[in-house]
Amino acid sequence: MDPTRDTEGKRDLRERARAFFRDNRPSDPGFKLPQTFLEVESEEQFLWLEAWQKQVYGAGLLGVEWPVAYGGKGLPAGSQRVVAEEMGRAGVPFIVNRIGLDWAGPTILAVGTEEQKQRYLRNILSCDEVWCQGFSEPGAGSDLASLRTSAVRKGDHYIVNGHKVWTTQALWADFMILLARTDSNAPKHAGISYFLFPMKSKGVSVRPLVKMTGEGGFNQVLFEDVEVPASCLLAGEGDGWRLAVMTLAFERGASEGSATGGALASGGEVARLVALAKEVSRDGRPSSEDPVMRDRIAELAIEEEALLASALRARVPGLVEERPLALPFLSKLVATEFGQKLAAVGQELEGPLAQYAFGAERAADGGHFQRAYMNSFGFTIGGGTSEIQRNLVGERILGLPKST
Amino acid sequence: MQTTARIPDDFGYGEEQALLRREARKLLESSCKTEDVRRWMETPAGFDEGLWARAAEAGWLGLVVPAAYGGSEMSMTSLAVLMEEMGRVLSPLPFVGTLFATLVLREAAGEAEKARWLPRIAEGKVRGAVGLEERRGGYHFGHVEATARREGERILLSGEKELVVDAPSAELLLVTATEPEGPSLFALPAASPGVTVSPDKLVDATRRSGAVRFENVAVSDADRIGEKGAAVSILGRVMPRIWTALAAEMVGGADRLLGMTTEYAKIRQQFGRPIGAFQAVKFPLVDLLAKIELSRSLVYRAAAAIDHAPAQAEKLARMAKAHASDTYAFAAAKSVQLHGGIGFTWECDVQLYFKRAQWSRAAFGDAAHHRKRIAEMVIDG
Repeated sequence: MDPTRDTEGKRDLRERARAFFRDNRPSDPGFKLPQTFLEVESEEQFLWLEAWQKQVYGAGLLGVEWPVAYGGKGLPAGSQRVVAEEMGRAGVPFIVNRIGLDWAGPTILAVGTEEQKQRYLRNILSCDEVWCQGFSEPGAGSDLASLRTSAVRKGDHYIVNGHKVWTTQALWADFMILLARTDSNAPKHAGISYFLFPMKSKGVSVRPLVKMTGEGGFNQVLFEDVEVPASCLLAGEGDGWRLAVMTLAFERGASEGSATGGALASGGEVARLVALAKEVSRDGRPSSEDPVMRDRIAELAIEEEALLASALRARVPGLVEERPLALPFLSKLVATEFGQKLAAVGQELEGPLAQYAFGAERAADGGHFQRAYMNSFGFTIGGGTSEIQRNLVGERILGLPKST
Repeated sequence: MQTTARIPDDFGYGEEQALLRREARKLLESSCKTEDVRRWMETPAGFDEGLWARAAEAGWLGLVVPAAYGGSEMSMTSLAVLMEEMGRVLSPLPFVGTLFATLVLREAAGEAEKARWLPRIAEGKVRGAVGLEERRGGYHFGHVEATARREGERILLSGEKELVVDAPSAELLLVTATEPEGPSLFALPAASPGVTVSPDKLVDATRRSGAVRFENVAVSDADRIGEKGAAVSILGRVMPRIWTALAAEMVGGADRLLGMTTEYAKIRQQFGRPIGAFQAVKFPLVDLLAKIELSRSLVYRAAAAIDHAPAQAEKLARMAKAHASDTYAFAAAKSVQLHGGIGFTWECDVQLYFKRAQWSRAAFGDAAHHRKRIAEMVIDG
């Protein structure tokens, strides 16, 4: 957010990003844009967002930490975050190929063969190929390792059968990072493999699901005797669980390397709250003058600053010496719960206007916080629920005994 | 040429701070055990002169004293490190009062006053305290009913300050009193005729403070710290350091509570398993860890801002104090609750930290007080 925090190189990048997002702010598309990458529900939205990502990548502002050889810029850690902060500040639309950029890409970068890196990474950045994630199943949610989708080796192919759910962007995806069981006799964690699965294969069907907001965006994916080349396997057979944990760490912002700048607060949400507070009223005065509302806003401003400060402190070895992994393990939990609290306060500021639905003509700020509050549960549930996060932190960081 | 002040990527935390942390932890863990603290808290002084002397030898009392006056003038980040370590062991040293007085002198005193007090403070031979609070002020340090009345060459100070941290052991008192130009700060040796210090009974028995009364106590213009009527602006520059120091101490204490309660949850068995295996116990500990980590980030961010980007110092320091106050209170409540019956006893050390948390959250502005000011900065710009 603040140029006074930056080193020389980052300040240049920030100025470049700030200028780009100022001068290239997209005009109103004339239709409703989704709030996050989780709610892309129409072809029209997708194509528009695809063009936007191409424009941002073309400006050299995406994948800036990835190696030059794979389409990146090779800049130091923390650089993408600078861009993300400027995007938050400018209030421009999000980057659509998030699963490619933050989940699949970093995992391929970490363990893929040179050929796989050359094949996939650049197209992720340019949005020429879109990715989705096939982890959860109807019977395997928080207990992910009990998944039953199978991939059976047959010569130089695998035959995939099964059923995945909550599959964001499956409708447009070219590839899926797929977890499937390749050995049904092995212990449950050991029998899983990780595939870079081509979605356009024969036998794949995608069925959209509708969220509580009324929006689409995620899907069920069914696999019926789908034959894919054995070269789709990432790392070795049976490495799937290890790689899934790695991907989830990227997804939760626990590891460096994401191409959009990670999950911690990007800043700017409290500023939106303040602007709203000045527009809406409680008891005949602007909500921004209501002492109780002011206290709530201050509390969120403190927490937002604490999240930003934590993202920075996480990079100072001396200041995380005693629990080096605490901040990375906590980041998904604290950031998503912060977002949820913020959206709830946003509605509280509105007083009676909080009754309006998102998109209602008379709604304040278009009903942004009504929709944001509902959508916030997507984040506290997806990618490992807050409860699973608390288990993980309790066991891995505090060393408490397992809860099962 | 004016360059934008920038907080460095490493928060100003380097080898010097790591060394200070190691040395402080070693000294405090061996010389300030909870059984020592329990013994000292039953005495009128509340602390041990031997430990004070060791603190002086270690250079802690000169930590914020300029080199010209015998100190090492280290950064706010260093001070935060020391405070965090002191908070961890529940140090009962009258450090905060002396620190506060040192910072005020360093900020605003003339050469003569600095030369008179600072070298002896750095050596551990003089302790200080700053009297701000008045009965009807409630955190507002501009509310000064005490008066400074001129009578020829003399100035007569009259008034009463309450909850003056570390006043009972202080040789040097700095107090605010109102002149025609507004509230000013004056140096007042505690031994001056007409000055009385009545020790308080505090919620935290390991801390000392007192009510300071002064009735027509004669001082001179030379005893004024800074300009006439300058007290509020001087304190405005000093307070972010005090808030940050207190917040650092609270983070240290909360972290120790987290450690104690986590260890207990691993050992204590009920229903045939350690209670830490139950999510009803595990989850609050995780929430406490999260709060501590966020508080710690704000503390070191605020400290670095004080050292490198003063324009951000007040806001970040208030944020640190507000957040750490809530974190320590949460740590205290959860630690008593999760220890169960034993946590409610005098014997269990948790109670000592619980009371320190209660004292700390209320001292130097509680969370609601700071949030009110933060709201002004964030909303009203």
